[in-house]
Amino acid sequence: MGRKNDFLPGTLDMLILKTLSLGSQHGYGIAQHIKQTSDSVLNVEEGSLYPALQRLLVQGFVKAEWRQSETNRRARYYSLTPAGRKQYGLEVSQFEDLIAAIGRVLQTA
Amino acid sequence: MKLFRQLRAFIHRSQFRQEMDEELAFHVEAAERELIDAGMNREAARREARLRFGSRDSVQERVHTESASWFEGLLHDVRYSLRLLRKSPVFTAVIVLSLALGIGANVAIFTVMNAVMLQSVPVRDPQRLVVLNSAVKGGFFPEKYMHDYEGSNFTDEASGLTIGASMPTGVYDTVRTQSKSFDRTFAFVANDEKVNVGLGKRAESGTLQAVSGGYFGGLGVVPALRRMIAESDDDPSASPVVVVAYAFFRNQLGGDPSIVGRTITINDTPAQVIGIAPTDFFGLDPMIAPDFWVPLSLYRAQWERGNNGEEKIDNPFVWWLTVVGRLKPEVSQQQAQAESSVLFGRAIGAPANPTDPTIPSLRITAGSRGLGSLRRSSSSSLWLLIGIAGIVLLVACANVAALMLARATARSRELATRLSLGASRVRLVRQLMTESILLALAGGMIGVAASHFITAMLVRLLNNHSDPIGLVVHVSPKVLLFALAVSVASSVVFGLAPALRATKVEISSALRQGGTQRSGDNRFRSGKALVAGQIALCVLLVVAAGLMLRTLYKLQRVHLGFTAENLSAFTVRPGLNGYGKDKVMHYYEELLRRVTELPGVSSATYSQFGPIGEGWSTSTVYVPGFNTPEKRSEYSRHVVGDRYFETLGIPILLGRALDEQDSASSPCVLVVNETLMRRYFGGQSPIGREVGLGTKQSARQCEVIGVAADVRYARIRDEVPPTIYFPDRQNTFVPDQVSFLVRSSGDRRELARAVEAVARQLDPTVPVVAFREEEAVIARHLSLDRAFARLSSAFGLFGLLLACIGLYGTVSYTVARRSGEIGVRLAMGASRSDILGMVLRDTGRVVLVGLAAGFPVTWICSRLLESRLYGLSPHDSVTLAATFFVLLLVTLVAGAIPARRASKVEPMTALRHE
Repeated sequence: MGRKNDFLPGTLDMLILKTLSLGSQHGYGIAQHIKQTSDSVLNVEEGSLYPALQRLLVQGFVKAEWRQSETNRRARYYSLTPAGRKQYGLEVSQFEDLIAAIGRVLQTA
Repeated sequence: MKLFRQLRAFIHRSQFRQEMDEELAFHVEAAERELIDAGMNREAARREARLRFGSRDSVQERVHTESASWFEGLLHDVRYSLRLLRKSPVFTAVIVLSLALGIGANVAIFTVMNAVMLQSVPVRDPQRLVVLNSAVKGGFFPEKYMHDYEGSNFTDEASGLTIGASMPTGVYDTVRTQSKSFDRTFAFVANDEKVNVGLGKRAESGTLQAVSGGYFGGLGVVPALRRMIAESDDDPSASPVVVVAYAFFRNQLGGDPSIVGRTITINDTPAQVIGIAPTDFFGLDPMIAPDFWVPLSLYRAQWERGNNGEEKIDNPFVWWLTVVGRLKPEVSQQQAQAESSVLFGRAIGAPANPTDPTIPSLRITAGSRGLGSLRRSSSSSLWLLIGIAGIVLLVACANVAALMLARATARSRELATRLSLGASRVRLVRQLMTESILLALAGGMIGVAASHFITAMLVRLLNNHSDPIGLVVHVSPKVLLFALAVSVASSVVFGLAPALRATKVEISSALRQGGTQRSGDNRFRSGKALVAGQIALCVLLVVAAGLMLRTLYKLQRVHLGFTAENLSAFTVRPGLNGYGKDKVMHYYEELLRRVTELPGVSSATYSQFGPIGEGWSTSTVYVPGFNTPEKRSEYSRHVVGDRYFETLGIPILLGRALDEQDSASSPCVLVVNETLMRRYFGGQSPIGREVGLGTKQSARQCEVIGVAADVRYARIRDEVPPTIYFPDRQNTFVPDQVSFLVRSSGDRRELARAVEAVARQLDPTVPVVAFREEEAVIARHLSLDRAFARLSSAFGLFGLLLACIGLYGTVSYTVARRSGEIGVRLAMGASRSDILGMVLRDTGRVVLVGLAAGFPVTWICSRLLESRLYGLSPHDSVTLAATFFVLLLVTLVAGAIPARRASKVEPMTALRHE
C-alpha cells in the first residue's frame, strides 16, 4: 500500500503538471497515472487532488473542459496552459535544487 | 486575471457546485469500474469506492475554498458585520446618522455647486461656444474707445484687469463677417430690460432680452412651440416678433397654446408671438431669466427713440452687445483668440495685441457654462459652505473613528484569539473595514435622501434676489458618484486607522490580561487624540456660528432711519410705454391722489428709489467753503414726491421738509441728510446756504431748507452716504419709473388689490409691479445673512453634539477599562471624590488640548469669514470667549456623567471581575 499525504509540500501540484504535460486527462486519470508510474508509492487522495486542481485553475496554470471519456461518460478534462508549462519547468528546477540540498545535508553525516 | 477568474467562479457558484458533483461522481464511478475489472463484485466495489473517496461534501468544501475565496470572504464579512451592527443598534444608529448628516450636507452643497459651477448651459454642443470679452487695466475704458457701457463687468483681483462681455456693434459685425474661426457668430444685448407687457385687458411686468437673428439657431435651441427668432426677423423692415419663455407662458398666460400667433404689446410696441422657448432655456447668463426675447432690430428702434434719435446705438462708443461664437470643429480656442484679437483691434481702432494694458484687448472665454456672473456672485458663499460642511464631515468621521476604535479595542480579545488561531492580519483588517464601509454606505444613502431638502434650502438661499435666476438643479450621476466617493473616503478615514491599530495586538498579553487592563492604555491615546481633534474642529464651527449670529443680530438692529412697519411699496413704469414727460408726470400725480384716497391709507408718496435693496444714483455738488466748483463732492441723489419724509417717518432735524409750496416756479430748494451736513458743512447748520448743482453748461444754485435724519437705502451694510433730496416738481428730468410708498393701517393684501384696481382704472397698460411690504423687503434683504446664521448654528450644534458623544463614549470606555484599577484604589482607601477628580482631570486634559489646538487654527481661519461679517472683527472677543466657555462647559458635562459612574464603582464587584 502506498503512503498517504506524505508529499513534500508543493510536490502534488508539480506531479499534476507533469502528468498533464503528457496530454489532457480527467481527475481520476491523473490520480491513476501518478499511482501507476510511482508503482503505487504515491497515492493521491481525492481530498487533495481536486482542491489542487482548483488551485491550478484559479492560478491559470491549467484549463478544464467537459468531454466524452473513453467509457462514453461526460468527464472534465484538464490540460496545461502555456503559463502552466512554464510553471512546471520552474517547479521542477526548484524541486531539484531542494533534493540536491537535502542530499548534501545527508551526505555530511 | 486571478481576481477575474475568482469573480467568475463566485458568480457561477451554483453551476460550479453542480459540475463539481458530476466530476466527483465520475471519479467514484471510474474507481468502481476498476475494482469490478479487478474481479470484485458490483456491490462490494461500489462500497469500497465510496469508502476510499471519503466525504464528498468535505472534498467539495475544500475545492470551494481554493477558488472563490476573496469574494466568498467578502460575502461572509458583510454578513458578519451586519450581524454585529444589528447587535448594537444605538452604536450603529449614532454612527449612521452622524455620517448621514455629514455626507448629506456635503452632497447638497456639491449639488448646488455642480449646478452653478460645472453644469453646462442647456443648449446644443455647449463645449464649442466661446464668449468675447474685453479686458482693460485701470478700472475704466478710455473715452477714446467707449462712452457708454451697457451690462456688467468685474475687476479680476489677481490681474487688476476689468473684464466685461459687452462689445460695440462694430466688433460684432467685423467678427461675424470676417472671422474664419467660427461657424456662427451671434449676439444678445448685455443688459436685460424690465418691460410692461400689454396682454389686451391687463398688463404684466416682464424681463426682456434682445437677441440677434442667429442667436437661437447658433445655440441650437429647439422650440417648445412653433418657432424661435430667425435671421429674417432681425431686420428693420421686418414686422416685430417676440418669443415667450416657458415659465411665463405657463404661469402668466395659463399655458394656452393659442397665444402663439397673437399680438402682445412690449412697452408701446405691438409684437406677434411666434413661439415658446423650451422649459429649461434661460440663455447664457443664469443671473438673467428672461420672459421674452425680441430681435435686435426691435431693441435698436426702441433705444434710439428713447434717446430722441440723437445717439445711434451702432456708433463705436456704445458697448452693448455680448458676442458669442461657435468654434469650427478644427479650430482651437487659442486660434480663435489670435484671430479675433486682430478683428477686435481693427473694429475699435486700436492695436491688435496692445502692450499697454490701458488699451482694451480681447479675451475669449469658454461659453459652455454661461457667462459666469452667477458663478462669481455665489462662489464665495458656496466655498464657505463647502468649508463648513467639510469640517462637519471631518468631525463626524473623527467621532465615528473614536467610537470604532473604542469598540475595536473592546474586541481586542476576540481579535487576538482569531490571530492566534491563524487568521491573517489582512483578513481581520478587511473584516473591520467591511464594517466601516457598510456604515459609510448606509450613512451615504440616508445622506443623499436628506440632501434633497438641504439642496432646496440652498437654492432658495441663492435665489434671494427679487429676480429669479435660471438655475436647473437636479441630482446628477456626477453628484451620486461624489456621494459614493465621499462615503468610501470617509470610511477609509475613520475605519482604517482603528482597524490597523486594533489588529496590532500582542496576542499573549491581550489574551492573558483579558483586554481589560493597562495593555490598552497606550493604544487608547489615539482615541483621546481623536476626541481632542473633534473638539478643536468644534471650536471652528462654533466660532463661525457665533460670528454669523452676532452679525445677524447687529444687522437686525441697524437703525434704518425710517419706519418700516405698515409701510408698503410698489413700482410703476409708465415711461416705458412711450408717454411724454407731461403724461408720465400726470400719471404719477393722479395715481398718488387716488392711492392717498384709498381706505386705510394715512399717507403716500413716491420716489425714484425706495429704501433698502433698490438702486441709487450719485452726482456731485459744489459746497462753497468746503470744495471748489471744479472739485465737487459726491452725494446720493433722491428725487421725491410730496409728503415723502412724513410717509417714511424720517425725522426732520433742522428747517423744514419739502412740500407743496416748492413748485416748478418757486426757487430751487433741497433737503440734505445728517451725514452731508456733518461732512460738507462741518456739522454747522446748512439752512439757508446755497450749493451748486447741475452740469457746467446748466449750473444752478439751490438753497438748503432742511436737514433730515440719515436713512439707509441701497444696502443695510453700507455706510450712509451724503444724500440730497429734491422735490420732483422742480426736477427737469422725469423718471420713467418710480416706487410708490404707502403708509396704511389694515390688511395689506386688500390694499394691494385696491391699488391694482385704481391703477388699472387709470391706465390698464401700466402694470403695478412688485407690491411689497417693507418689513418683508428688509427680511429678504437679510435672508442670506439669516441663512448663514442658521446653517452655521445648525452645523455648530451638530458638531458640538458629536464631540460630546465622542467624549462621552471615550470616557465611558476608559472608565470601564480601568474599573479594576478604580476598585483597587477604592479598596486602598481612595475616596469617591478622589476617583471623580481623577477621571475629570483626565477628561479636562483632553478638552483643554482640543481647545488649545482649536483656537489658533480658528484665529487664522475666521478671517475667511470677514466679508460676511458686519460690525465685528473675525477675532471678536465676545464670540471667542463665549465659544471657549460653552465648549468647556458642555464637554465637561459630557465627560462628568461617566466619571460619576466610575466613582460609584463597588470595589468588591470590580475586583471580583478580575
